[in-house]
Amino acid sequence: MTPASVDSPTVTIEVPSEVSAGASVPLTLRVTNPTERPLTLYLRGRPVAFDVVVARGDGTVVWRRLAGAVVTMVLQVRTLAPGETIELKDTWNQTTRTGARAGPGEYLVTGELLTDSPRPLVTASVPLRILPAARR
Amino acid sequence: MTRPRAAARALVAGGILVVVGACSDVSNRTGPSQPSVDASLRPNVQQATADDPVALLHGVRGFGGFFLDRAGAPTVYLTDTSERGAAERALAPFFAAHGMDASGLRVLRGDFEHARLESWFEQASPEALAVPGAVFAYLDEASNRLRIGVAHGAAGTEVGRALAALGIPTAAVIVEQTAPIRQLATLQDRIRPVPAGVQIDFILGICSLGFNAVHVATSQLSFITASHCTWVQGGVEGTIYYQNTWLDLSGNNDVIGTEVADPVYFSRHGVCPRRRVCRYSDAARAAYSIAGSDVALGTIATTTGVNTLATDITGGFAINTTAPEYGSDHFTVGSTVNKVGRTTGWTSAPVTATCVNVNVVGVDGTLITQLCQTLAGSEAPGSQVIVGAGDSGSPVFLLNADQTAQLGGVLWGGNAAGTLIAFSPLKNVQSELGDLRVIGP
Repeated sequence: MTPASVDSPTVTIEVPSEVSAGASVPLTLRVTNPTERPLTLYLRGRPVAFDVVVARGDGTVVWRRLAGAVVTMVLQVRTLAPGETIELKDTWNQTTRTGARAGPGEYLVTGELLTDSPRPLVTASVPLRILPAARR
Repeated sequence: MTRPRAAARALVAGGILVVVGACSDVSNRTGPSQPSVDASLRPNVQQATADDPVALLHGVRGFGGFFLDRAGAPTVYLTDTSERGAAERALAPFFAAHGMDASGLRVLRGDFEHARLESWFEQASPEALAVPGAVFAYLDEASNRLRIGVAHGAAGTEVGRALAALGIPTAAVIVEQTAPIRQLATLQDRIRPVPAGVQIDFILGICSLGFNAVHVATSQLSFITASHCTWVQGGVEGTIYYQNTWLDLSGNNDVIGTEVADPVYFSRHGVCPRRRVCRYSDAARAAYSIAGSDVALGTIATTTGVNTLATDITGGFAINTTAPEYGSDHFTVGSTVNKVGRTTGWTSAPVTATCVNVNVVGVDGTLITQLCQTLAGSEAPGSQVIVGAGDSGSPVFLLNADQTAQLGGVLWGGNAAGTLIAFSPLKNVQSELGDLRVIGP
């Protein structure tokens, strides 16, 4: 989770702790103003561009949401009221960057919010377990 | 994340003092003799520190100035060069602090004592700088004179007159012609006349101004930017543009124009993929609402260097008059294209793919395919950053050997790392927005 400094939002990612193999995995990136005053965000893209990285426990990246993607380079200026949260959503269909199935196992999911800085705001990584498909 | 832009920075006069250097050695110098300065003019030397050699030397009889010459040698002006020993002793803390040897001290014969010059400077500076065309005034340690910069000869004459009226000897003042010192503006500042590459604001976001042009069919003085830099991507809804910002607290009216052309995205199967809408350019045209004299037709702002990510404006690329536009929608892979945008300034990269159909998510979540686009840069880890948020709409151009620009397109996208750009070729822009004349009459 990106630490909340004087002028930084809190950025977190939410995924289910467990999903069945082959199931669609909902991904939610939350951007919150933790301060007691309005917070101006300088965000990349319309819609706001965000990346999600799924990696195995050893750090091997199996999927990156924006790999090979082109995003628009408009700068969005958004002001969050104190305590306000915006949510950015997508899903992962468990395919790797090579198109194969990720397969059962333990994964770590990390979100990245693209801003006007070359370095994104990065969430803390959260665990995701893909369970073997149920046998009939 | 960056904060809103502060005002442009000013050059500091102190920078001038450092670069002045050349002088003659004691054997070559002659000049008027000068009575010794009244002791009351001498500053208190009790507070001198090792870091302030001028203060250390103020107690030395005939001291006229101290500086490091171009080779870095400590150099002192003395009206009486026999005082060298006193100067060496006074500078002992300075030499010790900087690891220097007193024997390396150069002594130049001075014409004027430093305290006298300081006194003259206090009188001269306000009078000289009140003259229209005066640029700077300082006590030049390296020439044992006052130095006054003026923008033109008439100002020099007037300054000379003012200083003579104060009784300051002509020989004690160097009046030199110099370029006016201007505040450095950035691509994110309010710039008039408006060149290509500067920031535009449409309330819902911030982009870059692609290029200025006359729309041939309507004769409208216009500028081009990205279609997604309008209130609705595709279709005309009269987006209002500000340069540089709609939140101008200085009271300026920054409105510069209104969107007048932004073709709707089409869904012709056979050309456009199913469930997607397409265009050949991510570009829109706005008609200027400001005077033509406030528009820099044929000019792209340039910054302090390519691929430095600097945004300080240092001039402009003129669009080549004989070949103002690149005529094809195909660019040679490996050829270099440039862009200037409000976020990452002037950057360049080799073309990596041409006439590429690119899927992208539109402003409202619509699935869009941009047809026949060009990609430049690299996705390899560690590649040079060449684009950032706010660069959408930037002019993309080829640079000729004579540093003139040939306009090639309008930037609209990039990869997440900012190391690759996607742009719409100018040929596609004109096929959708109509013919555009990008240079002056």
